[in-house]
Amino acid sequence: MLKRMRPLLGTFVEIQLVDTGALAENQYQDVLSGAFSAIEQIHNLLSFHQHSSDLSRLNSAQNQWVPLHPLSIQCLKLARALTRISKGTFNCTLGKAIVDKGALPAPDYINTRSDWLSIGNWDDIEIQTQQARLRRPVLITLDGIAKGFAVDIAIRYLQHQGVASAWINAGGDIRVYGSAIIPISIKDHLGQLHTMGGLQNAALATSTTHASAQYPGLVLGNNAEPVAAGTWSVIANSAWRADALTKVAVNLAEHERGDCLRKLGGNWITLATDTPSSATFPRQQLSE
Amino acid sequence: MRNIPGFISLPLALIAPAVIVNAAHAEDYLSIAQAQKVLFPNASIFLESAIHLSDEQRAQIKKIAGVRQRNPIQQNWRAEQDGKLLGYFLVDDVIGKHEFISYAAAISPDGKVIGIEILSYRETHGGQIRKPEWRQYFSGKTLNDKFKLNKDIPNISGATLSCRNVTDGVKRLLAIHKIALTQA
Repeated sequence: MLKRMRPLLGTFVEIQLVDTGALAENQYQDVLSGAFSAIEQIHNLLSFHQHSSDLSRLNSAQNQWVPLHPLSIQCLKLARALTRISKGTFNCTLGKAIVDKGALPAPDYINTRSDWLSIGNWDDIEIQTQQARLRRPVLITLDGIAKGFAVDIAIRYLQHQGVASAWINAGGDIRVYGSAIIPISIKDHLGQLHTMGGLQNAALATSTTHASAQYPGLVLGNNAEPVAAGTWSVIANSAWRADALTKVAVNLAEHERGDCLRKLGGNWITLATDTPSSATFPRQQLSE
Repeated sequence: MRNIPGFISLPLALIAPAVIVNAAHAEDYLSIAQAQKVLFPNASIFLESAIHLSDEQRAQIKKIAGVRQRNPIQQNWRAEQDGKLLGYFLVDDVIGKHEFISYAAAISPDGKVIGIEILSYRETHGGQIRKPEWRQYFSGKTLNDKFKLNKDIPNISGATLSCRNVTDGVKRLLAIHKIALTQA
């Protein structure tokens, strides 16, 4: 069996090798295990929940330089850059606001000071080659990007191992490469499934938001308040970008959403309202 | 019919009829033997046994893990390499509101999780899963059996599923390890 699933990143991660390419048969399972390990490593580095993660060390060492793993630096750079160029519609500095809403647990170091900013700016994060620091008391959360980033790192690992085609689905953050075309359905915030077609050489992410008291909004708007219920799907070249751009999509008005996302490297996907019932679509290539 | 930008239209055969998708998302990943090999690649032998848990032990498990141990019998395998104990391989099921999951956990002799693999995953309507005949249908299946449904099951993006059930289950297995699996 060349498809496996493990509980990681707080969800179920599924990986399938579609075309094993240069691999020998006795390597299949080791390579799958290696891809899961790559995802687990990102989880351990960038988890907001884990006390010992790079992210927790950075958040708890306010104003001091913290040495970080190269992959943590890489993800932090992407998050910072997107916070900047998206003008804060994606924002990795709103950890405190999310903790206040109860969507993330309060870390134990939160009591070390009382002047946390509920939301910050991109330039609150200073990054050097091997270290980073926070200039103001903000809490970084990479929840909006790290799952996709983990998928990308695992895909890169599979490519380096010589796997010709594979896909990964990390709780809805999906990336596929090579010859495989995988059928996709999107589950909206009401639990409704929408059949979308096939995905090839691209990444897809979906964020759903709820407006109930029970789910205090996993995605916060520009004003650090939960947004109205909705489903936001984006296609991009890489999973980190698709993942992060779903948060941008949430924060944009409908008339500007498509254009803004395209400038940031993503395609906004509107949900199909009808289930395709015939094969009459003209075959279409991805725009990326 | 309209195109969805970014998606490639699929021939009809590849698109699962919505009614099947909605009824049950069923997927098999590894057989027990395959999972043993994945989680303990160096083991030369797996010795099977069953732990019979007393009521007292089950109460202890609840206390340690915070989750109830329903089954008084816990199947497990000792993974050994040339007579040396590498760890324990345990198979467990968790039943969630919308899913039924079989998984395997590898636990080291000193009680650390070496790895977890999902053996099978079935998504279903909440009501369906509590029917005993439904459960029997799946428990009678060997994991190598293929379900026809699988082929056309789409990847689902959105409404991220929590793996809390499984992580709670693993806590339970660690508690079982602590109170009922003696170290060699």
